[in-house]
Amino acid sequence: MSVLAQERKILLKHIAEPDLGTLKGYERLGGYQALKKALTMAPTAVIEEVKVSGIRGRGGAGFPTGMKWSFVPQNTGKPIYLLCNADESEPGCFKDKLLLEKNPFALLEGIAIAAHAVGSKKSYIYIRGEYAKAARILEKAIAEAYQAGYLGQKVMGSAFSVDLVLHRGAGAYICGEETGLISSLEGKKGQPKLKPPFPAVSGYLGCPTVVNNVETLSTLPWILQNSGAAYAKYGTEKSTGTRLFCLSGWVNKPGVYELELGTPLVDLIEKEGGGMKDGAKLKAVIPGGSSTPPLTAAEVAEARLDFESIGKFGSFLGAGGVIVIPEHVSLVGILETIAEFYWDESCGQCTPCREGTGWLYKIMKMIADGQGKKSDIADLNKTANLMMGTTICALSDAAAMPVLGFLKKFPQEFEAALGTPH
Amino acid sequence: MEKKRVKLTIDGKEIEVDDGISVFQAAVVAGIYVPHYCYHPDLSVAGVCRMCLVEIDKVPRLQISCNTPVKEGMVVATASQKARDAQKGSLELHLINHPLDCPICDKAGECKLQDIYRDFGLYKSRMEYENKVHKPKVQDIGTIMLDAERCILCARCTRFTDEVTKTNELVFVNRGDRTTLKTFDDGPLQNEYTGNLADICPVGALTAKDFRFQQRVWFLDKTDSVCTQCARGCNTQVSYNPKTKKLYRVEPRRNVEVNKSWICDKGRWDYHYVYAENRIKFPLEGATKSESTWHHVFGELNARSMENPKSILVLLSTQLTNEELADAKETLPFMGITQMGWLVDESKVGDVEPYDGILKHRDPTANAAGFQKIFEGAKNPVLDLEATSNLLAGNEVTEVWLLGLEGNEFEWVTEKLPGLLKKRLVVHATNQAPWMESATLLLPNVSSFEKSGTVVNALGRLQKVQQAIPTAYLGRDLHRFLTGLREGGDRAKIDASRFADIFAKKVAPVFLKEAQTWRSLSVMGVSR
Repeated sequence: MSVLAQERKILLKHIAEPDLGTLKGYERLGGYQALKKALTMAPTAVIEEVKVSGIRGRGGAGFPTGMKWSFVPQNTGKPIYLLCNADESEPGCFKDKLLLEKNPFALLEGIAIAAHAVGSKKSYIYIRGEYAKAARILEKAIAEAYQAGYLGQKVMGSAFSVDLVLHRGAGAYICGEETGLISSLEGKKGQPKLKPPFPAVSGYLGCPTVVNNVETLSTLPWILQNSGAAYAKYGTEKSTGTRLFCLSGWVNKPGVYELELGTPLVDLIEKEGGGMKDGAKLKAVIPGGSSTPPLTAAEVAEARLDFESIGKFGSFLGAGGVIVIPEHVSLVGILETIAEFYWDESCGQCTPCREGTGWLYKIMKMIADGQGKKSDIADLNKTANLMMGTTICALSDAAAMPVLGFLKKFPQEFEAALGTPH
Repeated sequence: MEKKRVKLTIDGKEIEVDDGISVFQAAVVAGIYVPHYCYHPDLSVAGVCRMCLVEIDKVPRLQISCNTPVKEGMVVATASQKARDAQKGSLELHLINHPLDCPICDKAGECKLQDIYRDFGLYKSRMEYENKVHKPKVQDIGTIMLDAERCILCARCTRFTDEVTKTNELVFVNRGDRTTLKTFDDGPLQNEYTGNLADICPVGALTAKDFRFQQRVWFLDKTDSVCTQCARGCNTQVSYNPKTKKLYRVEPRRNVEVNKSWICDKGRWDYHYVYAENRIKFPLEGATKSESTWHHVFGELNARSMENPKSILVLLSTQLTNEELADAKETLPFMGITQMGWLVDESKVGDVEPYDGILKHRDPTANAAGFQKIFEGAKNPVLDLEATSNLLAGNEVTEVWLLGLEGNEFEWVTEKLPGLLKKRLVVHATNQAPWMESATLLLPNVSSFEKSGTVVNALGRLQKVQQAIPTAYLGRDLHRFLTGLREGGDRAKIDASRFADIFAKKVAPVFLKEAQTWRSLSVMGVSR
């Protein structure tokens, strides 16, 4: 690991400390000083500090967190809910899992800070069903935090109170979409809700609701303790701070790495990830999880890890799932797997997504099985285009974007695959 | 408070609408049809079919018009190339897993998939694989048959059982293209409004058992009318096949003031009394109920009323129209009959709101409110049930004529009027009940489907019942009955427009501020 990266670690600074996951250890490493400070500040001042930090949501959409908080109306007479999205379910992403398992108190402290900022007295962590180990760790941490007065009535002796409940999902990808998460938490089928109204105005149980990602919330203690301006020094002008990147695929050292935004993508693969396994040649990189269009090897050489740079190549930083694909792995097989995933996970309420994901998968399967026809490429493109921007949530786009991206950037490989089993 | 108005342009047409409505609703105001499956004016917005995508100036992505609020100065294109392509695309996606069983589908002819497909023109299917998603087909869920494979998952039915009946029987299980409509725990539907599910289903997924395979819909004539099965007066559309001369279906007709888009199952399916076994087809006489003629009946009744009109009590059903009642109010005293009472279970009359919070009223008759108004301040006041009961206890009245009974809801009569069966009875009814055995004359009445006139519902709304089918058998409405009685024979000419004349001259002035003719009276009715 590069010295540079080590110096600047925010989220993973103490990740190797064996007692980080205990309350004592967390306190020893400076834990809960940020909350103590935040509780002396007015909620608006906390929001302002987070705005200054420039941090953008780490769940995938990249919406500025401070701005999201400022949309919450404070005078409705309804309770305000803060929900932590721990339903990390995008294939290629496993950063939240690390934070939940290794550093649970940073999240709990972040939740308390955020709850204070938005005026929420009740918070939920919605954790994906498969994260059983993380759920056990969180349950224990929440109990300890209550015991120590970091949650519950009169937090740290202040006037601020907040309750926190851990809720386990049942394993649906769509429950990671914030309104799908809200539906599920309400006890309904996990289906995204129409906007408007937006959750900030009418979310969980029809009340003002903020949904923040685990990584976003876990970063808050550092921002409060070191100031928003200090955080904004990291990264680029529009993509401030550091991020966790989940490096997987054909690299020597897959894992979770914390890098400043704006770091060259090549550095992640070469310096952090130890380069390509077996010296293989790089063919493509999926930069932000399975829904983001791939970058070609030439693009990878130029790309930097920030929202704007990746955007230039028609893709997204998403939730930081960087998947490295070597020359010898078939993109047809990869796209078939991706198409199958979204077909399986579509919630089924909007027609373009419900029917389109199935159609894309069926065509991809035929191509992968060597049954591809010339018209299939056009049909894939046409169907995927019908799914772009035409549904309630972004799952339809998430299914269509990789199809459009792979076909655009690697047309020869798909044309060559027609009629040849993969 | 005056609602704020906003101006916008839809397809080049400038319109002004109430602020807060959706672009879709504004298009409706402008008379522009936007294709849709999930939108329904009386249900919440689901926004899932994605058929109503429109192009809005300065908005980069297409928007669903059903969930986009109107804004001042908005410029909307519902049929631009981009919008049209997206709509066609959504339609194509709707069709990929839909079975091609139109020839045997009961919805054919009124199926929105067929209609919109036809609008977009035929095109070649891009679907070249055979493995469609299969789901359970013919399923009996009570009054309705469910074909989950035809379902396009528009969620109208689930919203109906969630929001209107609040009984939540219908649910979607599974996800993606495996999403399937079923009843909760596979139980039957358990509400009294199930027929509406077949109406709102845009395809053939939910069909009413009562109507299933009875008719191809394009053979049916439709008449706007009003349900007379309770005091609510839900607006209806009655379907009739002129070839078979039969009534096949009663459906709700939207009227936001009365019934929105709904009607209860009783109002929808109880029409079968029209063709029931116990329908009184001809005048029947004596203990043996031998077939008689109207000519004979009129001769006999006329003679008896001339002889001793004081011995006769006439009870008029609240199922009669205002016009029939106004006619009786004049004709009976003209013949010397001055003792008149109303025939209705008073304990159920007078509720303004439905007892189930939706539409159903306890009073199963259509015109108690109109009855009271017609006889208000009459020279010979009508008797209430108590006065009638007292009169029946005495010996002065020896003969009772019960006029205008319709349907099978008169079991209470002998209970509430115990003296009745000791009298000589003349009953004018559509259907025979056991207690009518003792009647000396049983006379065929017509049903509300076989006559025209006005009724007043529990909300005080004057509404129009319109004849939807020809008079069955030898039934006579009260106009024809009274004319025959007065003229003393069945050959007496009756002007077919008698009810219309009475409406204009006797009924409209009682209920309405402005003069109205039968033709000018809206089928939407007029509120007080």
